[in-house]
Amino acid sequence: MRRCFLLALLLPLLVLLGCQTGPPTLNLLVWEGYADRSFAAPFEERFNCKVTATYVGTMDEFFTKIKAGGGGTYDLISPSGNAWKRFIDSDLVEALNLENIPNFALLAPTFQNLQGNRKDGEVYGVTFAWGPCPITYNRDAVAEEPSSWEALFDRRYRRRIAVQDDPTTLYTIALYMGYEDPYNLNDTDLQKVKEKLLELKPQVRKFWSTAGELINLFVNGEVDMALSWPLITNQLRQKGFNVGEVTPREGATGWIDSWMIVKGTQHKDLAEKWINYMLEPETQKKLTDVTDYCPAVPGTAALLTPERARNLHIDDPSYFDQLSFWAHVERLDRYLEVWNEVKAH
Amino acid sequence: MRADADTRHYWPLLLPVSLWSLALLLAPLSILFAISFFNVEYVTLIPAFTPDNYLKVLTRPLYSGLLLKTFKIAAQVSLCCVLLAYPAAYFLVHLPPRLRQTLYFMAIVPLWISYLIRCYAWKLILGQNGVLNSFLQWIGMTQEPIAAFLYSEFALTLTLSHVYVAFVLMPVYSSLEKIPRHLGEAASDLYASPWQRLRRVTLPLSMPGVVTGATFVFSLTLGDFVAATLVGGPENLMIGMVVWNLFGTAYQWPLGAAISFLILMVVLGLVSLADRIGALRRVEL
Repeated sequence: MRRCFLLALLLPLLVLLGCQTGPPTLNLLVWEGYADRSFAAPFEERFNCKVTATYVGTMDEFFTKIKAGGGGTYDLISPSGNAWKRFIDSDLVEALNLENIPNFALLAPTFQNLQGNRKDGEVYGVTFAWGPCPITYNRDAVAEEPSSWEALFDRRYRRRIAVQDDPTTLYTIALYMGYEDPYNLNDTDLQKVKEKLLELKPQVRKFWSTAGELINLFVNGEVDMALSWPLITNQLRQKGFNVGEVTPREGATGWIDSWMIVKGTQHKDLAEKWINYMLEPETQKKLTDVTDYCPAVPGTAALLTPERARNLHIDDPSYFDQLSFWAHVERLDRYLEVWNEVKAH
Repeated sequence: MRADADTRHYWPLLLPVSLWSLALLLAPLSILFAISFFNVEYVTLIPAFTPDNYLKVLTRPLYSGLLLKTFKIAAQVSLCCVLLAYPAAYFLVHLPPRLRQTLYFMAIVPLWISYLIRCYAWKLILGQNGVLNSFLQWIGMTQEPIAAFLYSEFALTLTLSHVYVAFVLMPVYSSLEKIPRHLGEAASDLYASPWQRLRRVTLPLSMPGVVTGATFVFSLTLGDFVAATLVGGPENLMIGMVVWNLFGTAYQWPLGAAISFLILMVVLGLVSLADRIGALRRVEL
């Protein structure tokens, strides 16, 4: 009996020791799809390491996990443009040495020259994917393709739509209402957007908080239409679901995702190698196969059919300019309050 | 006196658990308490001693209203749990010992299953294409699936009641078990009807168990945000979800901490109240 007890005590210790040896592990904290085995496995093989990923559903999860001391746990994060400034100003991410990331030169000039992920001349983030927040809809239930965000307010779809459980939904509605800069609204404008959101609320079946959740909502027949991400449409399509995606005529919000290295990581070398690897056209293609997100490296087009390259808007400045990219929101506390008021109403 | 000397001997046994609660409970809570009086500017916490956060929670309808709404859900869930668990416990106590052990064990087995799995199970049961809707359509009771089963207050109450019902069953069962049989027999001898026996003897004597169980459930529900996120509808925002997003990108830690502390105060108040009621009700047998 006593021996059993000792063994039980020793076992966790052995497991802990086991973790210390062996190949290094790169821990990613990323949006869903950004550590898919199709490109993570070849990386592991090439650099003799292990890649583990924790997926997040909202920007809040990124910030909370890292701010509350995730530096010891995670090496790399993939936040979107609306959080870059907060990560940099909070001193949570490392300045990058671009000499170690030679593939940076492959990026489209727009992404090489982005200012949002820089501070005082230092680069803190390397962009690798971007895309819109479009409408995804079930073709069997929605007869004609929605051409306007107005479709979300259509009474025929009462309790049949889903929107993201995040102030990002607020940005989209503000854009639809004609605000050119949804990220710098004053109190009066926020109030107007709030009223519009309250109009939308009776239409909502569920506020979704992860891509996986929204996919299930469609598959289980709970919703017909949603404010979503291309990843969601793509995965539904791969499941054989009759799904459509559209960027309405009022335009859409968009996002740009960058890799950032968490301050205090033990694997800075490996993290830089990962960032560099993610910019290889081959990896960019694999990433886009999983997510349907637009590649940030124009050279990827050579690996795709011309039609697919066109659909992904590679080298298509007119489409890029049509999107209103998530940006730093100075008054995020107020935005969040409005969003919570909408939900609590 | 001898007993005291013995107790002194055993004091060191408390050391591990005291260290544990000191390091992992008291210290973080103290930090959180301190932060609840801070200010925040952009990404920096500014140490201060301001009651603003608490005032904001109590005066803004957003937060005070949500607190009340959450209390209401917690009360609903506690009531459901008591109504489900009391008859079950009463039944169990009157079974022959062997059968009683088995059934009691089966009743608390769900506690071993992850909370998340139980929430997801309810999603499968209550959904549009779920087990319940399919069944109702199959027997011809409904033509269309009923959407209100899932993503509604109903789903939220049901799921939380299921998740927490064992927390009422256990204390009620043990308080019922402790009631000596001869008290009931004496009541019958004095011409009490079965109903009077239940109302005048059994119920009062088992009240401490009910109060303990209901307090457990109420407190656990107050802080919940997972079930509300998974099975609640767009209308069912709970205060826990707001605390969760205040600790997000917006970096409103002081406000989130203040709400957390108010909830903690309510819970502690309830526990001590329950303790007092329990003590008053306790009858030396």
